[in-house]
Amino acid sequence: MAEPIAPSSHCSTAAEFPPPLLSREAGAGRPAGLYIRKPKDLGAGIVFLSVATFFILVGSTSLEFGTTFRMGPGFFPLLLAGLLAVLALAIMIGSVACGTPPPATPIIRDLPVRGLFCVVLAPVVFAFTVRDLGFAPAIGLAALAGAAASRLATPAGAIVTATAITLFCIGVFIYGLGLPLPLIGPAFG
Amino acid sequence: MDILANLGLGFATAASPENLMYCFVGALLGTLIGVLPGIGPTATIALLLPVTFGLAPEGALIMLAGIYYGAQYGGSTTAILLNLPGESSSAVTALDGHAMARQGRAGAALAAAALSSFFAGTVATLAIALLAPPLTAVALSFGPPEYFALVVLGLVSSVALAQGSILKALAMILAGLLLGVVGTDLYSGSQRFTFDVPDLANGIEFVAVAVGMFGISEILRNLEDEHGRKASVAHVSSIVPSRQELKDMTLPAVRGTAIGSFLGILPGGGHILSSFVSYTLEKRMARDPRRFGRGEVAGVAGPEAANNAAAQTSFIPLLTLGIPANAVMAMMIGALILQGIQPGPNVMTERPALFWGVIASMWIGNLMLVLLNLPLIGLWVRLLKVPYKVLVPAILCFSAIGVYSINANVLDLAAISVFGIIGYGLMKLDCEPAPLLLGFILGPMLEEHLRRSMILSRGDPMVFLTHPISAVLLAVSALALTAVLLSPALTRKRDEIFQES
Repeated sequence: MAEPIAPSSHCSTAAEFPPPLLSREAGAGRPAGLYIRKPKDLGAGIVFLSVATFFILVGSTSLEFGTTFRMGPGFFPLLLAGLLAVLALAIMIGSVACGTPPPATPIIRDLPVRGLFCVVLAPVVFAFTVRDLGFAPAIGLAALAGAAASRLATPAGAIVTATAITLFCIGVFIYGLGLPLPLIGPAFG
Repeated sequence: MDILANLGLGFATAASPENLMYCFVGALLGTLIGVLPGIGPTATIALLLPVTFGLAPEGALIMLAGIYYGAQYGGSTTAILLNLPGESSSAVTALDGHAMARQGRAGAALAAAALSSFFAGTVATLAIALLAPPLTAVALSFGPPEYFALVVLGLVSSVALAQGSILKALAMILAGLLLGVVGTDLYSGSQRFTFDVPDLANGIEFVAVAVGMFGISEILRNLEDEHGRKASVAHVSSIVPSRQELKDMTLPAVRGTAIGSFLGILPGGGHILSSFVSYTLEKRMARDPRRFGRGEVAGVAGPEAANNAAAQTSFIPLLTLGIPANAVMAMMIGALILQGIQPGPNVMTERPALFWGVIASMWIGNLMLVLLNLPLIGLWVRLLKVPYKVLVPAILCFSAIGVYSINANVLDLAAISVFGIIGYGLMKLDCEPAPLLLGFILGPMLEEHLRRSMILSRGDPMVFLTHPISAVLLAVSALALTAVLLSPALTRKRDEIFQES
C-alpha cells in the first residue's frame, strides 16, 4: 500500500532542511509528502540491503580481507556486498518520491498459498523419505504433494495423477535410465 | 578451405547415429516444452543436466542445444494456433500469426514460421562457422585482465539489453555473484559463508538454484491464476503458402536473420529482444503498417527468423570465449563443467569434434524441426489439453529426482524449494532471475581472473586500464551502463520495444 512515510511532513527544498513538521498544503485531501512511489522497488531494495548486510557482517568477522596484491578470501565478497549495499540504497531512494501519492494498489495479489505450501513441500518430502522409504514411496509422496498444489485439484484426481506420475518416474528413471536408487527402502525391511 | 574441413568434421560427428538420436530427442523435447506454457528451455535444460552427466559431451551439448532452438519452434506453433505463446520470444509471432490463423491461413503462418526459422538456422550456422575461428584466436591471446573485463562486459550488457529495471538487474547480478562465493576458497582453503555445513563446501548446487529459480518459481507464478486454458484451436488446412506469401516472407526473413544473428551474440540480447526488434522493424518498413496485427506474413517471418538466429548465435560467445550470453548458455557452461570441460577458447582447439559437432548439429536439428513440426501439429495441440495441475507434480518430481541424482544430497533438494521461494518472491518484486543465475555461474570465474590479474600486476588495480583490450572492454561496459541508465530516450526505446505488443 502506498502511504506517505511522513504524512505531516512537507517535501522541502534543500534550503528548508530539516522539513517542518506541519504542512499547510494537502492536495486532494491527501497530505503531500514523501511517499512510496514504487513499493516493489522498495521491497527489492530492502531484500538486497539485507543480503548485503548479511554478507558484510559474516564476511568481515570470519574472513580475511587482504590487500589488492594478496587478496584474502574476504576481498571479493566484501567488495561485492559493498557494491550491493550501495545499489540497494540507490534503488530504495529511487522508490520514494515527493508529492501526492496516487491511490494505492496492492502488490500481493492472488498469492497461491496452497500452491506455495505444496510446491515447496514436494522436493523436501522426497529428500527426507527417499533414503528410508525408498524411491517409489518417496516419489509417490512428492507427486501427491505436487498434485495437491493446484486449486483445481480434487482428492481423487490428485491420487490418480500422483500414481500415474510415480509409475512413469519409476519406469523412466529406474528402469529406463538406470538410476541406482532402491525402489523400496530399509524402513520396509 | 579450413571452414569446409571443420564443417566436414562437424557433420561427421553430428551425423553419427548416436548424436542424431540425441539431436532428435533434444529437438522433440524442445518443441514439446516450447508448446507447453509454464515450462521453458531454461528449466528443462536445468532438469536434464544431471542426465547429461552420463552422456558423451558431444551428445550432451547437441541434445541441450536442440532443446533450446526446438523451444523456439514449439512456441511459435502454439502462438499461431492458439494465441498462446509457449515462449516469450513467440509473443510477437502470436500477433500476426494468430490473426492469420483466424483468417483461415494458419497453414501459411506455420509454414512462414518454419521456413524462415530454417533459413535463419542455416545462415546462423554458417555465421558461427565463419566467426568462431577468428574470435577464438583473439580470445586465446587474452590474459586475466582481458578475461576479467570480458566477464564484466558480459554481465553488464546482459542487463543493459534486457527488460526491466537496470538497477535491480545489476543488484541481482551482484546477489548471484555473492551466492557463487559460498563454498571453499580455492586460494586459501578457507570456508566462506558455509557455517561449517559440510554439504556447502563445494558451494550451492548450481542445478538446484537453476531449477528452483526458473522451474519452481514459474510454477508458483502459474498457480496464481488458474483459469483453464480454453483456447479455440485454429483449423489448419493447407500448409503450402501461396506464391505471394512466399515472396512476402523472404525479405523479412532475411532482415530478421540479420537482426537475430547480431543480437544473439550480445549478452542479454537473445531471442526475445531479437523477435521484438524484428517486429518493430518490419512494422516500420512496411508499406502499410496498419496491416500489422491483422495477419501480415512479415510479422511472422521476421520475428521467427530473428529468434531462431539469435538462439543459435548465442552459442558463439559460449563456444569461443566461454562467456554465456543468456541463462540458457549459463546452463550449457554448467553442462560443460559437469563433463569436466573448461569452457573457453581452448574448447575449439582441444576438442574440435565437440565444437564443430555442436555447430553442425544445429543445422541438422533445424532440418528435423521443419520436418517434425508441420506433421506433428495435431499432437502438439492435443498435448496442450493436458491440464496444468497435472504438469505441476510431474515437473516437481523430475526436479527432485534430477537434482538428487547429482550428489544424493538432501541439502540440494531443500535448495530447490528455498530458491523457488526466493525466485518467486523476487519475481513479485519485479526482479528478473536470469541475471542472478548469470552472476552465480560467472562469479568464480570473475574472482579468479581478478585475483590472477592482481597477482600479475602486484596489486595494481590500474592493470585493467593499462592493458588496451581490457581497457576498451571496460570502457564499453561503462558506456553501455551509463547510456542505459542516464539516457531517458534510450530507456524509453527499450520499454517501447517491449510494449509494442
